[in-house]
Amino acid sequence: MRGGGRGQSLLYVVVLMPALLLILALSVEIALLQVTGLRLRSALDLASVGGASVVDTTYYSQTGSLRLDTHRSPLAAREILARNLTGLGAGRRAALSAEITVLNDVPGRDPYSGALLDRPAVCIRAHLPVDAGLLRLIGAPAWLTLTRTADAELRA
Amino acid sequence: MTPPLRGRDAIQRLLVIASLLATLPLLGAGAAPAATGAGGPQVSIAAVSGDQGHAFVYAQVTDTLGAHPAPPGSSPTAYYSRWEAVPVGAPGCPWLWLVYVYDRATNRQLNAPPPGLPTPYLPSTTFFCPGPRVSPVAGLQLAIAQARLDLDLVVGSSPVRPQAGSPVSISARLDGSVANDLGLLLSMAIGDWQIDGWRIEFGDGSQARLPGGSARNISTAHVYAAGAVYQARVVASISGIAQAAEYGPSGYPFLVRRSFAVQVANDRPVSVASASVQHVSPLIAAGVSPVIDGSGAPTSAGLRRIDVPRAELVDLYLRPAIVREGYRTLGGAFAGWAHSTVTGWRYAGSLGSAPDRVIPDARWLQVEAPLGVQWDRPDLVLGGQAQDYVVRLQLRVAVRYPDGVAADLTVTATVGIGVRYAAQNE
Repeated sequence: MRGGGRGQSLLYVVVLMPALLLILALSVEIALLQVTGLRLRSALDLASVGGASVVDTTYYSQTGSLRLDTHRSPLAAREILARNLTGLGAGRRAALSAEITVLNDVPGRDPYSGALLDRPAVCIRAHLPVDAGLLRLIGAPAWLTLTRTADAELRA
Repeated sequence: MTPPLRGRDAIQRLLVIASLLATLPLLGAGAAPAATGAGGPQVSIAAVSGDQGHAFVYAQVTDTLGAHPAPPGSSPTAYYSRWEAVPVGAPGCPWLWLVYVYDRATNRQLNAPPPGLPTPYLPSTTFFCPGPRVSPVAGLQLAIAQARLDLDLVVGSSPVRPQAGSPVSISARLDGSVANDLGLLLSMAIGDWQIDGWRIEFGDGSQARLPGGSARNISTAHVYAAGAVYQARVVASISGIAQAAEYGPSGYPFLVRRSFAVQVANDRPVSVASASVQHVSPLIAAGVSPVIDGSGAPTSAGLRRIDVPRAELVDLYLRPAIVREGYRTLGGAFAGWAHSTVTGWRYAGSLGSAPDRVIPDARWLQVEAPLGVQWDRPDLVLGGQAQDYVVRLQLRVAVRYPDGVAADLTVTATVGIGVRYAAQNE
């Protein structure tokens, strides 16, 4: 009986270990995708807040009211986004291709998320290509695209 | 021999010559001077100025040697006359002779009386008492004719009880009446006089002069500085021409013109009450024109409420607004606007929360200098609503009133400020 038990254990190890390791690797791959998605979202949040901090000084001098600079605000947001996506493979490319909208005519809707906005806001949507890695083993395409949106507004 | 003069009752006068006054210039223009009696007519003028509201001018012509009434019948002049004896029934002299003078070319009556006067119009002071069949020409002639100009000056003031510092209207009205004398031999008339100018002495050492002209009344305003009784005095200077005419045997007039000048003055006490003077301060509001530090020049009008971005220094430029200028009252009545100028300003605290930076703190600034403020925290939230901060500003105002009084005021005004910041939406 004892000799037969050792044989069974070896069989389990030989047969099940690769499957367990594959499952573990896929779990890690999915977790990495989640982390990348969080980093992308975090970078978008920072970029939108940074863009919403660039006010139209000429308009302000004329009216005493704050609204966003439609020219400088997207530039600032894109630069912040690029800096925060550095190190993420195609991060710079994602920053350059990110869609950024300055919304001064409020109330209005975020063109990407559809959220209703009632103050001047910056809205961003970015697409980040990510290597699918081992997920290809289960039929995923070679590159996955993570898409995230964010908006920030001038609040009282 | 001089006929007796009677009263001024027109009906009682027996007048033989109707108004030739209007025809005198025509006669003079068309006729050459005729020979007169030895010595000719003597014309004397007495102009009596008066300072109690009355003045007189007497003009008299005499010619004791002349005895040439206008001849009856036709004469080679451009005019002719029609004589009409009218019984008036007066006990002393029951007959009146009316004389109508016509232009020979047009048959138009030249001595028609002015409209509205009783008929017959008797403008003479020379009296005759002719009979119904003997015209005055055939009677005795007077060797004297007199004319008189009476001048009456009335001075008034308004309002009745003016107050010091408020305008008082001093007015004057000059009335003149002329009595001319038109006889068959001699005539004396004052037909042309005018006001050369007015002088108004207000009684407080000041005076004004007004030009003369055709207007017989004037009015001018004056402001008395203090309460007292002032003796306002108006002096009118009058000049004119008196014209005497002596009719020669051919009917032509010999004219003598004399100019005269006279002054008439009158007083009016003006009782000026001392007035309570009040200087009312201006109402001034403060607006600001904001500029984010270093981003350009202020271009907005004065704003009573502005946004500021959190954690950024904003320069505020003062834009004062005079809501209502200061003014002065006398006895409760408006007496002129003041002129206010803002000379400086400063930060004087905040309701809610003080800014985290104020540059340059609470020192007084020139009007053109900016005040830098910065909030690092958002608006206060009360009852779920963000509340603006209320910034108090003090303004130094120099006020000059129309009476020369100067005042320096410190006015406090407020500006609402809302702090805005960028935040992401979830």
